[in-house]
Amino acid sequence: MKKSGRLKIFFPRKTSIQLPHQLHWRRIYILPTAQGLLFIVILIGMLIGSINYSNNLGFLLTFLLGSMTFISMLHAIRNMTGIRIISSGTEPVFAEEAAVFEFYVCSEKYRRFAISFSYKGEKETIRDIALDTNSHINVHAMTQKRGRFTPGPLVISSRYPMGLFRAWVVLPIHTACTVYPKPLAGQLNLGADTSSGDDENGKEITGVDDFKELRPYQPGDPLQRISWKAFSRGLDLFTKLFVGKAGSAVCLTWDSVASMNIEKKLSILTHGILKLHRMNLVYGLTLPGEFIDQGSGDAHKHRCLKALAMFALPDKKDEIV
Amino acid sequence: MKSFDKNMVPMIGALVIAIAPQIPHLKPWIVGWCILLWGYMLMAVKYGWAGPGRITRFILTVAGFFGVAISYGKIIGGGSFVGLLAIMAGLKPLETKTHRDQMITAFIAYFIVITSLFESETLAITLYMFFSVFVTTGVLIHVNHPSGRLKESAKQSAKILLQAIPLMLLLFFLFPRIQGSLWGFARQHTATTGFNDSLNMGDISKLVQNNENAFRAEFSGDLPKPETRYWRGIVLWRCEGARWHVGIRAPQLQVPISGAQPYEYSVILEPHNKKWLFALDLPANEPGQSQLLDDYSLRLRYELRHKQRFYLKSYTSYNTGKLKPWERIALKLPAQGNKKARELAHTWASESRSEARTDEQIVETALNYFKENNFIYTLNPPLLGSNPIDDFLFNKKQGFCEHFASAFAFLMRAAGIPARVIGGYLGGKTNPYGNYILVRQSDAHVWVEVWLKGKGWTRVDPTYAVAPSRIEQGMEMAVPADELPDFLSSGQRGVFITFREQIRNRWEAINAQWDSFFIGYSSDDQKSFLSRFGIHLETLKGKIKSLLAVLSLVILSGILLSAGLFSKTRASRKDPIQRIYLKFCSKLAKAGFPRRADQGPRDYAAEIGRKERRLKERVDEIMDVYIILRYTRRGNDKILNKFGLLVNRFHPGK
Repeated sequence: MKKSGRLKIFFPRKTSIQLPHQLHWRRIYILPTAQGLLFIVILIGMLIGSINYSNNLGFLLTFLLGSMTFISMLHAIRNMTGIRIISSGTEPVFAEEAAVFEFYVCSEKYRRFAISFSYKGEKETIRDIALDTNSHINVHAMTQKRGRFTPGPLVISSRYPMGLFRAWVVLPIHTACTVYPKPLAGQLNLGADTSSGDDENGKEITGVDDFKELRPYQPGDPLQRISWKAFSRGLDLFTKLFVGKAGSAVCLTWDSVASMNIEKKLSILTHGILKLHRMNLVYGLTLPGEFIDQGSGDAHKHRCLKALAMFALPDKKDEIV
Repeated sequence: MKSFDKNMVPMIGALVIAIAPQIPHLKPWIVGWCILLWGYMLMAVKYGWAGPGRITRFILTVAGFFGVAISYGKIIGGGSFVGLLAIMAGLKPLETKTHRDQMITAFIAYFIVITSLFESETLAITLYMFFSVFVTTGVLIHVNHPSGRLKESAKQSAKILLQAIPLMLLLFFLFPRIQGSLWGFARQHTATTGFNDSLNMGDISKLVQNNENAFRAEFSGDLPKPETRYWRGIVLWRCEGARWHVGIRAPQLQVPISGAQPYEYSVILEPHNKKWLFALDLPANEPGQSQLLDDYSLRLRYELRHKQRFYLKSYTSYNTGKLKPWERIALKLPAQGNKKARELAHTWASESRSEARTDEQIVETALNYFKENNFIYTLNPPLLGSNPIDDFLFNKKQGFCEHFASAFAFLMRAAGIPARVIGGYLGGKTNPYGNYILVRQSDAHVWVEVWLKGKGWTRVDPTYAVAPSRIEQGMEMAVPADELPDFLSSGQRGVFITFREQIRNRWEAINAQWDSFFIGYSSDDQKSFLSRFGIHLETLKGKIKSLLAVLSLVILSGILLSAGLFSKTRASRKDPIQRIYLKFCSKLAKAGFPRRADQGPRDYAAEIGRKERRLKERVDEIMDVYIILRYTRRGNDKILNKFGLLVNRFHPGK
């Protein structure tokens, strides 16, 4: 069934909207809050009392409060109308952590008060939106499992000014966050990459954290590997060297983990990658159907973690942040 | 805990302001209760004490409710309701940690405001009501905008309040009113001053000590002459010696009276919790839900609990005609007592019969008796003995109007002339700033009516015989100065006093206006107001029409308001450069070149120049002017005008 054009106004499409987006009053729903309903009941009581005693001042106050309730409804809508959501962004997180979606929001014409941003069932972020400057709002959502996390529509709401009404708008904004597997410490059997490096040396490697020697610090050595212990003893700066010669790199593979559970395997691999990264080693990752060459650095780490996050998931091809 | 701390002071402030007018009506221990609990909570916030626990709160709640039940004698009805509210207002700040509790605290404050309106209906309390609503709403907004400052919330509160006023007035005048009450459940009221069903010696002299207003009579034309300003209230038929009682309920008047010197006026009557109305002697119509009885007293169908306005018509010159058979009770006297008074009356009667004199002459004789026997008009008459009329007439000879009236009526009945005692008010205060007479309790008065052949019921005021100045100049002149209550004694009249008098008159006149527009507004007023617009509430069609009118006006005002609310901000209205620039941008946007939010004037102009060569020159020119105005110090009004002209003449579509 096709909705007619007019109906579309009242039943906005559920498909996602593009940023930047400006809130239109027609998209804003408004209903009394529980306290608002209670207040309306109190007003009806006041009205009945005024009628019964034909007390004109009672009428005056009842109508004043009633009018103020009505006006506050208009203010609630006004407070929401015209908010501009300029852009959104997010950083990958590990499973069971809160994903943080950053929104840049700006207000034209006037300031907005006590605007709440949230995903359904998640913690609210309540902020004022200043006039003509971009406000930066973090909205949290708990993640559960690895992969691509889409938090569902963003709910922007407000009870301002009198808390009698809640105005809200549901925005199906296309946002997604990569969720890496939850890191899990576990036994890793590391093998040197056989394609480049010496076979003999490779066998020597039993673990990534085997310390070999100290050599004098050279500019460019990673800070994590400076021997601060030695430095504190009054020696010069030394850099710790670990097993694994230059050119021979660690390679994580599907078989590095003994566990048969895929998720557990991925979690242990994640832990391993984080550890390797911390030690600034060169490493690669081989998964069934996925091969990442050796490398190091942040970009490489994220590439590996993302591969783990998306492993054997159908929507792998989608371009995500 | 933080918002709990932050909102505590404003919340308690709102409660204090809401409850302040109620303090005189509350039991002292409840006032103490509130002060103690609020003080404790303020200290708790200041010194970071933990608030009381759930059990303490529960015990306090139970204790408070029991306290109300014991001190008021009941938990529902009467003043106990206000007492309960005050108890709750005292307790509520103890548990205001959640947003919900804080909102409910504000609701309690609103509710207390309305209860104070049921106690008093003056202009002052109305103004105070607006102030109180402003404060409470400010607190409510503050609760819902925790990060905001209190000043901002106050500003928003004032804004909402002012925007609500037109709508409030609309509803006030158009919301259908009914006459009387829905259920008419009784309300215990602190004893109001005024007349009772019976009149004892000393009642009126007590009443005149009271400075409260009784009613206000507004005249469209001339005011009646001072000597005719007798405001008729109750008619007392049954004589029980010194005590007079209404006695019987007179039947409803069948034939309306007609007379001369008609006055049309309206009376705004203060609530007296009784059913009678006061009208200029002699009323001739039945205003609102009232009945005009055969003895020309006006009775309401309900007890008057709120100030109400009644439209009245009276004739000050009239003839009530024949004595009706039921009115013969106006001759009845108690079987015994006051022998000497009876004897005196009998001698007058037999003298008059033997000399073939009329009843009028007996009345004259009786009045002369008061005049010639050194009777004293005083606010502090001595107590009377077991035969009070005799004691008054022959021994003490000192009394107030009720003494003279009841003794006179007694004498008349004893002499065979039908007589009744009328209770009401005499005189009243005029105000140079308004065409009305303000009648206060201190104007209370009692007089007598006798039935005379050919004249009907005729007013006779025996007080006049003793103290003519009471009628001519008012109480202040008739009673010795040291007896007068403070508010009546004029004392020294300096410049300051006259100035104060002027201000008081002004304030009273404003109050009168207020009363007649708002407080006195009744279903009758509404009917006549609406009929001016062709809406007659009596018919179903009229009712539907009025409902539609209310709805459409409410919707219209809603639209107007939202148009105002959602219109451009004041900032852009105040900033002409911005306004013209936005106009320019919207012209370009219509032509298909919308400005992106991230584009400044130069980027925007450059993009248009790239996309549409023919516009480049004009757009660049306008942008240059804009940049001069906006970003340099060289801008002036002349350049601004040029900017406006350029944009006005700019038509990118062509």
